[in-house]
Amino acid sequence: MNNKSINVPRRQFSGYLGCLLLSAALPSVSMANSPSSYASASVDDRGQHWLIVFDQLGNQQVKYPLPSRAHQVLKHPTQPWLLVVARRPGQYLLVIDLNTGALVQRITASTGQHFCGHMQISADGKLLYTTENITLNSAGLIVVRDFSEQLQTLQQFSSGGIGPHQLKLCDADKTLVVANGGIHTKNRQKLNLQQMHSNLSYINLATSEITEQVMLDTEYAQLSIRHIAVDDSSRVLIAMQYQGERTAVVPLVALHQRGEPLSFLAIPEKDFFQLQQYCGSACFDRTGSVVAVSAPKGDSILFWDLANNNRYLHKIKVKDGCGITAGASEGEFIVSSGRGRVYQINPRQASKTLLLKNTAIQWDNHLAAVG
Amino acid sequence: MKTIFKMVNKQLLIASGCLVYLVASPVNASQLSEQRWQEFNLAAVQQHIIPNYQTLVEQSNLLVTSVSAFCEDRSEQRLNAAKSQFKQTQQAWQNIQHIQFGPVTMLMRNFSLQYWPDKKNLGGRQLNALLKQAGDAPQYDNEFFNRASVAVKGYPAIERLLFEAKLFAQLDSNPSYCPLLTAITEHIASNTQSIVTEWHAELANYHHYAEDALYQSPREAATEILKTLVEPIEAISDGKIAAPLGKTLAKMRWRKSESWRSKQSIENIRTNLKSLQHLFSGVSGASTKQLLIESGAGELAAEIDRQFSQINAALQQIAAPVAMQYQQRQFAQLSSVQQQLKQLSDNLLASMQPLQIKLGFNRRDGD
Repeated sequence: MNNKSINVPRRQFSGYLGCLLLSAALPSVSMANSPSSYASASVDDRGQHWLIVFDQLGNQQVKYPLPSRAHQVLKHPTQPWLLVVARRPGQYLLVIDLNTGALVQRITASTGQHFCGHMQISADGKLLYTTENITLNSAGLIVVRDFSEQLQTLQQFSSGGIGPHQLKLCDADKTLVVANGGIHTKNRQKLNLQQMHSNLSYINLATSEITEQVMLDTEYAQLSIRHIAVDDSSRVLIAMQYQGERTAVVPLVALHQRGEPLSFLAIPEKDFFQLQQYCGSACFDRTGSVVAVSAPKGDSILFWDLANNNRYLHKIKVKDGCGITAGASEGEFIVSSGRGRVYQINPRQASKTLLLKNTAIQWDNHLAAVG
Repeated sequence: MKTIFKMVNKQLLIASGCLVYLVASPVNASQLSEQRWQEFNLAAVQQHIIPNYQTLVEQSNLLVTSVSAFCEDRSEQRLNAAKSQFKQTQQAWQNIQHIQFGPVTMLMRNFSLQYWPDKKNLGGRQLNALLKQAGDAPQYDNEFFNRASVAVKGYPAIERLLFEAKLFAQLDSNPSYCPLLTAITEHIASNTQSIVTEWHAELANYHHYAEDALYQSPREAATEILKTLVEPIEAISDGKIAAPLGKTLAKMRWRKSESWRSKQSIENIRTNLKSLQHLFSGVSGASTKQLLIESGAGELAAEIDRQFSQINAALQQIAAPVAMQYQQRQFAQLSSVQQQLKQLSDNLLASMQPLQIKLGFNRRDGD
């Protein structure tokens, strides 16, 4: 593993990344309160994986070499740190200093376990939560580590299912909501598609007990709940992937509120069949009134208006688009693509603005706002 | 959608104008020009995609004629002619089955033309259900096909009606048999005609590239075409060979193979590979092979071409199964073809590197 950081001074980037300053011509971008930087894992032309932090002017702020493909990237809420976790079956989780671009700490999963690609940090910045698998049988775990103790494991408990993927904190950090994908894998090969059961589990962090579990009806048993987002009122947006017949019409996106049944978000059939039954990231806008879900196999980002009876707005084409994070204003999203693009999209205005383009980089699944 | 984006397009046009000048050019000096990729696209579309779809239309029309003729007198001779025509039409479909973008993906046409694999025997169950409704004198019109299951709209349904003894026994007793059979052939013919018509309109996308057009550059359009060259190899190996073959001879279930009823499982694969080889090296002017040579990967290009021919020759050696059962010899031959397909697939994937083509990142391997 290469532990050396490549610390590129801030001013040097413009040429280096080849990212473009397009935003100067586009006044809507320069919002005073907009997040100024974004981070994502990526891969370059030579197959090297990188953690990259860039601002919306295309300036690269950090570029750190990764030992293998990563998945989620997350800003620490109180420290100038960025965390990046390997994609499943993941063996590393790195803490990188945003100011110096240097490695702060590297941890690995315990023997016999691996990371599943997602993590969360408590709002006070003290605890790290990761989804992990027992490698042998894909039994899901939540592992809690302590930032004040060099990220030593404090405790671990069941995630409530097999193959957990994304997790989110809600209820002022009292509850953890986990997407248990339900798929038993060995080296990414899926082994139990005929018997799989996915669920959404709410875990009380004071007791580590599951307080509510949402399952899918038998007819949707082969739907895998993989990615979730949570808004301020603890509504959960769910993006799913279907593992059954290619021609089946199944819900791929749902909303959930505790104590209630799942509510599926409609996708018109003409759009549905373009998606190949596969959704990537899920995201609420800044106000919780519009949601976005990426469908990279359909080269699309889909939008629903929650303030308007969950109405399907439309899909907007983004080739190989997958990473989504909330933009500065209501209804606005920032979207990254495997074709080196970053767009600002506002589905209510049907506007799509290219922010950055660098075709030598492929942005990986998830995009994070850094601050 | 087009109108909503009008304003945005303008913004993007300005933006992409800047892009041309500002983006640092990639390092490799032998990089193919966008002009060359444009020639590649037009060669693939005009010499491979459209002509193959055109053949499919012609063959599908011949199937209508031949099935109608059989239904008129129901003679043994015309039945054989219809069966033989079905095989030819099916091969015309296998010849273009790999194209999984453009008009064939609209309105589920790809599934409608061929719903396979049909693991739950949806085709069988749906056809039986339809034949049972014969007493109601159903109309097999557009509205019928709008509501009908994809499993009864395509070639596999025709294959069942012509080749499956149990179903075929209803030919004379069931007044719906011939009307349904004929209607499906007509539906297929009209579906394939729509694909060709739309492909002619689709050509415009290969003359207008912009940040928010269908394709942002000729290279990007070429990527879509190259996906249909590279990705089917693994799908053919997995779906058409590995799945029916199983891990041991004892576990082999040749009824899981494609088109086993008309005994064309192996023929299908040969047609697939011949067509993919045509896309690789058979089109003139700017084939994938030619572009690989221009990118300094001539050896790899020759190796891939050789592998295509070799696999096809190997497939030709495999004798037909007796009563749906293969012997150890054929099992070994098919296993060997699987290995060769794996190597071909690896080589095709490797060839994307010298061409500097990325087949897709998140869409191909997400999480």
